Amino acid sequence: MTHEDEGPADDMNDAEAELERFLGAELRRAFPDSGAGPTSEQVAALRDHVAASRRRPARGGWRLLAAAVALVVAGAGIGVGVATSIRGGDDGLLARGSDEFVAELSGPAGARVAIEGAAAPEGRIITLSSDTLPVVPYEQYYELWFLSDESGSTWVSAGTFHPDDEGNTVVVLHAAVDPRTTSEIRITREPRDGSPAPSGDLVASGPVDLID
Amino acid sequence: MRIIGSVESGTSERDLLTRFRDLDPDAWETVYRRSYSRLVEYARRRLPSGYDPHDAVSECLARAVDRIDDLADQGARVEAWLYGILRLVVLEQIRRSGRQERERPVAGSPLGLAEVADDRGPLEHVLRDEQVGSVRTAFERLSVDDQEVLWLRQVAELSVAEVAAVLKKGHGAVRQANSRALARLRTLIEEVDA
Repeated sequence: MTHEDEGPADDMNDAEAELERFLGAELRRAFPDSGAGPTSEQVAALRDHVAASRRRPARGGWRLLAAAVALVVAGAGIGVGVATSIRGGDDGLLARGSDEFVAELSGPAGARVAIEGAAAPEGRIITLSSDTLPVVPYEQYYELWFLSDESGSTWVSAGTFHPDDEGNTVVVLHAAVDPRTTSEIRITREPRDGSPAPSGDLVASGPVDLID
Repeated sequence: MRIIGSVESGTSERDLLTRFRDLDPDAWETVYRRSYSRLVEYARRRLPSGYDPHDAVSECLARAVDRIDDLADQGARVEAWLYGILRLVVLEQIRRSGRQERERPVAGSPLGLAEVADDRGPLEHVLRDEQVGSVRTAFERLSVDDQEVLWLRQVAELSVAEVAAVLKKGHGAVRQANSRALARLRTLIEEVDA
């Protein structure tokens, strides 16, 4: 690896410069680069994560959306105004739909997740927010599930997500789920192993509350 | 600069940084492959025992993706920015562990000594290995701060400006810290060899 100031700094005297050249070489010899690179699976996971992030709305849009969600919770009248203000581009797309259900999920480790769902022509628009989901490495992610059938045996994935680096989560997912036939909503922690089946690592769960 | 990975050869560091900022997966793979082992070793040396350096590097990359808007073109390579994030990840783990002693001994570190194929004779090999052992022993006796500046500047070969960005210090402070750490290392090597 090279760097801009390859040689010793200008304000070093000759003795210091020689000491740096000598000991620098000795240190690199004592701690050689193992050359061990990431595995192909790690590289693939990183590429997926980077590519997925390219498709996300700009960060400013996410922050605006997060603020919008908070205001919608605070009051419907304010919420209408915010929804109008964020129309246009991706934010406008995400603001479509009519309110249909809410859910409060909780987990054994203290996670609390608020979910709001709206019906839209392409399916459901699900807004998920939490500040208690732990940050996970990119080899893992959270996945939102809608369980249907009376026994809850059919799991339909509504999408995957990560909290941000401060543990805050505000994500909007579009999914072909039906809250009217859903017995429970769950969030699991999943390894990035390519398996479409839920891992069973339950993080939070709760019932659907349909809006009349 | 050696460019390895998916980005074509001939790509400059500035072009690579631009593509990195644009979330080009090829650019990320290139940086990931060429910096992985050094990042892992940096984390391994500073993390409390029981923490996986590979996880720390993974967390570093995940945060880098989320914070890509913060990466500015200030003449430093992407690696300097990643070291800065990794340093914070490591410090968070240290705080969580509640350890007072930040470093752990690396005797038995999986680093091992490099087996370099050359034409030196057996005696020269023995002398060279003894010298490497002295340097490593002396390095372990340095303070955490001395180790960090020497690791970043001499082993990871970051420039003064890049180390300054990682440590959030001025260039002059980094040069001074580097010089003083080298002087202390020389003294410790002499003590080890005595």
